[in-house]
Amino acid sequence: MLDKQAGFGSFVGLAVLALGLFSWLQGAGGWSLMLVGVLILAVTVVNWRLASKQGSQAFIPVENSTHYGYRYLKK
Amino acid sequence: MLFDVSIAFFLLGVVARLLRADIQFPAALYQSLTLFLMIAIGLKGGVALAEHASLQLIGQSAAVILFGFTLPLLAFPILKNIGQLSRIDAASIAAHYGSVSVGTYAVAVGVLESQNIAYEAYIPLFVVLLEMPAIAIGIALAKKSNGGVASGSVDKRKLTHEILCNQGVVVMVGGLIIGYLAADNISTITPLFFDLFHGVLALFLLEMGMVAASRFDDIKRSGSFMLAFGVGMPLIGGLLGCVLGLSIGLSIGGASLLAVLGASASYIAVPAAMRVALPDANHSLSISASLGITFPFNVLVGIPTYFLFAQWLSG
Repeated sequence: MLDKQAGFGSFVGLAVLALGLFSWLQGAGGWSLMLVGVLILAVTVVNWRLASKQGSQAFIPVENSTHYGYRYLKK
Repeated sequence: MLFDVSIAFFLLGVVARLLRADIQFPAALYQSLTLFLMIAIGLKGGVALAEHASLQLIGQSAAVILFGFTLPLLAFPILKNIGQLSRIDAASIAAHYGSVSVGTYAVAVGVLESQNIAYEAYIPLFVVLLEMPAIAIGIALAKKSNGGVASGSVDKRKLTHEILCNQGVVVMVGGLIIGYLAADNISTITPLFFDLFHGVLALFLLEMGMVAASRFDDIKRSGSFMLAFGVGMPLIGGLLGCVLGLSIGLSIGGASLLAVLGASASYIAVPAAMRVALPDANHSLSISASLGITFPFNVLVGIPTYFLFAQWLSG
């Protein structure tokens, strides 16, 4: 089951991919958009798989942290 | 596909940083390039204002200010509810994405001019107008939290100074006024500010390519949500900017530029204001998303996409 962040990543990735495909079919390039869509999907899937294996989100926000706002959770 | 030669310099900067080539711009030169671009954009806008000043511009400006208030309100719930960021971080990032990046705007102008695409040259006025509303909304959203902002500890005078007198606002408003007043005598400075615009833009993008590439490690730490947000939010802002631009009577080029303004995220004015207003927010996260994801996306992919949006929407 996808969590909210993975769901959002997948949605944006697929939307960007679809937009790129549409642009490409219209003859207006669009390959770079498709590439960005694939990249977002790939990063989302990797992040989600890591999270699933660890039974938690791989990257979680840390409030008021000075360490880029995220830490890697290892369980 | 719209592609300007100066964008190749951005890619060169990215590659140079990834190869760890020892290219270093003096900080003062980078600052000078930024100021040059702001002055040039302001001057061009001022000259255009002198030629096209009309009552219609007041209505357009009001719509653009409303747009500036809307963008952070759209970004905030995504960041807080889906990204599960703290309220203060979500508010700070929403302010960055509601405001504008003059650098991205400069690239878009360069791309349109290199392709001989017409646009309303008074749009720098909108750049200035879009700088401020997002900061106010960002602070208001953060202040609703219980412990996030110690409202008493915020130096309001310093904050007002940061919002109204940051280098972007002062230099661009100054450029607009000078351009407006001296529109007929501008030819003495056009060789520097107008003719050299694209060359300076190329140098600026070389440096920005290296800056963006140096943020890639931060993005890895941020995870997939920030990557998706850094690409998805510009597309939402860009589409809304296109719709707004066409509905207030701008040309396709003008609507594309308004889309770029809606899509871009600030990395100069807002970070400075947020450091004063929301000292506890995670500033690294916002600047990494803005510079490491959204700026490269807009420069390499976004600008032609927004032009395409404007073309589709105008039929």
